[in-house]
Amino acid sequence: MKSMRAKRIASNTAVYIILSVMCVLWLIPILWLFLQAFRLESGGLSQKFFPAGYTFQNFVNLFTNKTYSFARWFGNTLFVAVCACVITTVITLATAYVMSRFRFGSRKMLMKIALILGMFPGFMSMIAVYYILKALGLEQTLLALILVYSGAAGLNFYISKGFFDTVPKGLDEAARLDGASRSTAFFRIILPLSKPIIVYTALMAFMSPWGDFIFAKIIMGDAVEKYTVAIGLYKLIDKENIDKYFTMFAAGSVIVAAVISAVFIALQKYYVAGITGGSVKG
Amino acid sequence: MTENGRMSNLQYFFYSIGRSFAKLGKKIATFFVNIGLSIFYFFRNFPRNAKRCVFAVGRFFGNLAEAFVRGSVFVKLSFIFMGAGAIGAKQYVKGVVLFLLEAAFITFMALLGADCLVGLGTLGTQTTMTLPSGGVKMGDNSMLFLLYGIATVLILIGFVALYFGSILSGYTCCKTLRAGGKVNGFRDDMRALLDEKFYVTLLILPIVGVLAFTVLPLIYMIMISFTNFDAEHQPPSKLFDWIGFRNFVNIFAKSELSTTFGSVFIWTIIWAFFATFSNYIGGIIVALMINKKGIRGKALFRTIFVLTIAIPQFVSLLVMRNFLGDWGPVNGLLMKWGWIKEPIGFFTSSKNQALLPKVMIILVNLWVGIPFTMLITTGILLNIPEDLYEAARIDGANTIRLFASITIPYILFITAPYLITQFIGNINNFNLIYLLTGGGPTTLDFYKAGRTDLLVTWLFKLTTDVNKDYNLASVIGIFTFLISAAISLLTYTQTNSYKNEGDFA
Repeated sequence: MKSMRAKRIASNTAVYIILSVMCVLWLIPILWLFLQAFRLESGGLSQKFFPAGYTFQNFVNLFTNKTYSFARWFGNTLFVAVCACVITTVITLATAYVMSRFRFGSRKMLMKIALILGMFPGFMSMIAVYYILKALGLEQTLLALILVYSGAAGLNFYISKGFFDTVPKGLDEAARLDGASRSTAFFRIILPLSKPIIVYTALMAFMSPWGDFIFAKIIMGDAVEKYTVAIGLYKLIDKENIDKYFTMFAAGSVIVAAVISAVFIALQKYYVAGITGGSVKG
Repeated sequence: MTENGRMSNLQYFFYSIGRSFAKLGKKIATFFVNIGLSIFYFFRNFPRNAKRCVFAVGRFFGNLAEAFVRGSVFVKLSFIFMGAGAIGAKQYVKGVVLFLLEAAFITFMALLGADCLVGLGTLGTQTTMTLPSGGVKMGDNSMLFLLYGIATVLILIGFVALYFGSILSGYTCCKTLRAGGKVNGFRDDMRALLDEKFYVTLLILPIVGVLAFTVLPLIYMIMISFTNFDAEHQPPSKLFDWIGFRNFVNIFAKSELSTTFGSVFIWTIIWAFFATFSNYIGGIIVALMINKKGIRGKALFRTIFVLTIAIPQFVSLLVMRNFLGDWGPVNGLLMKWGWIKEPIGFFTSSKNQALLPKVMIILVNLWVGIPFTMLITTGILLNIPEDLYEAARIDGANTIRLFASITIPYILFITAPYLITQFIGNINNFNLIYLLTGGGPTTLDFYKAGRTDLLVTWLFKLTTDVNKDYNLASVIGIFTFLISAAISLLTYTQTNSYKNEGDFA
């Protein structure tokens, strides 16, 4: 028995060592970003890991800089994210419910079409989307971004459909027998039972505008005051700006990361439930 | 050490793990075989399906003819005036709306639509010219001609469907009335939209959105792959025109293009393979380590890894690019300590066909991806039914056997679909490449692509470069689509959620 114990201690120690080394590797880049955000000396990329001094000025600059107003970008992104989140959630859940509960002639065909359309690389149609928005007179507006982020929501119903499929159909039928219409059954019976999938859909929709910089860049072009945080921060470290604004980029990234992390960590169990398609219950 | 007189624990461990992976391998192999099979079935069933199609079309026109011959005056009138059939059935609101739609459509076609359709054929004839007087005479713009032309065709199709639909529904109402039945009024129709036809209401918004922001742009780009819309034909100064399948031929026949396409394609597949499996295996190992019995601080370890998921990906990737960049702190420190003389080009070295950047991309992807797999696997580990273990314990299995014959197969079983979505995701993993290397290091061997470019980043470069090759970009997009489409359609139809759909219905 003694050798068993010794073995267990040895293997546990090995695991501790490996995990600790990995944690250090995972944290170092984040720590570096954090340190750069508080770096005293101005200028671009530094070859030193630890700055010579620390300051809050970089964060103040984010909100006071005349050319690049981070506060503005943050507001834009929040606005776009909230609107896109609401529209996407409504559209996705509506489509998922239809595909899960109704049986009509073109259902299977619509589902296959959605699957196929979703597989074209988004960048392929990006330019065409831009010209459509331009034809509608929407280029360089936040409305265009909202439309782009939520326009294709009707294609991403598969996860939610999987969830609705697991909600017993008897519930709908019972409600129908009591005289409720299909819409009443949906709003009163099914939706209240679907909190996990609502949260998951909303979470994903809310997070995507914070990370996308390609579509946003193409739509916004040079209208800096309409930028979202992603393109804004990207702009701060392009070739012309990196030597001047690197610490400001670091500070901005820390703020964005803090916000998103807070939302994400609070709701992570829904995230896992969504990804594994309901095979894992929170 | 021989337990049960057959295999040692260690032997059993490797045997069982090996078997699990063999099963996974078999699944993947079956999958590729199925690709072949379904192509075969498609062609084998083609005659039968074609016949069905012809019959369906025949039946449809048969119905129309019947409506014209047997229908009331109103139904006959509805071949010219949409909505007449509805009026005949006393559905006044519906009838008026249909008639107004017809009027609007005809006006639209007369004023704009007809020109758009002609433009779709010619793609413009008049280039923009500078007049001798110094002014500029605006000519046609092939790009807009194509876009408006496609939009008009979509509207036309929609209208034709509505037109036939209105005739047939008018005839159905007419038949119901003759049989002494009752026809739904406007109010009944509205109520149905919230009840048995609720799906129509729910689907309007999604379908409009998808048509405008996915279907229309896609058709547009697919059409472009049949034109010569390249760097030398940029409207409005130079118009482009239809050239048939020449782009598809060029990509294999022109030596510069075919080398680039071949290399980029192979790297895309290699990348997707390594990125997917390294993340998958790495993530499972980390999850198993964290959840090992007797390890303390599980929550702490987990939170540290989850933290890196929560940081937006573009932030962490940009940080990585600068952190490991030629002038970043890693190279700086290594030089200060005197270990190296000049910066290691983690993302820029072009030696050995840019081997180092390629390896670095996969490593950074591990940094990004392991936490995801870890998080998911942890969820699965915590949900393995305890009775599976109980039963095995009663049979005398020890910890190692439990692990090898229950834990691993269970994880592999549940995550197999995730693996395939990940593979497709990696084929299209634009952000990672674009933010880390930008497709670089550049090379003169390739046409507008760098050594680490994937198909999608190459596509992106072709459409945003100073000289835009939209036609080539479209061809690449279509190929990328074909790859992902083949993979996912088959996977999807094989997953349980599709096969067992009826279980809950």
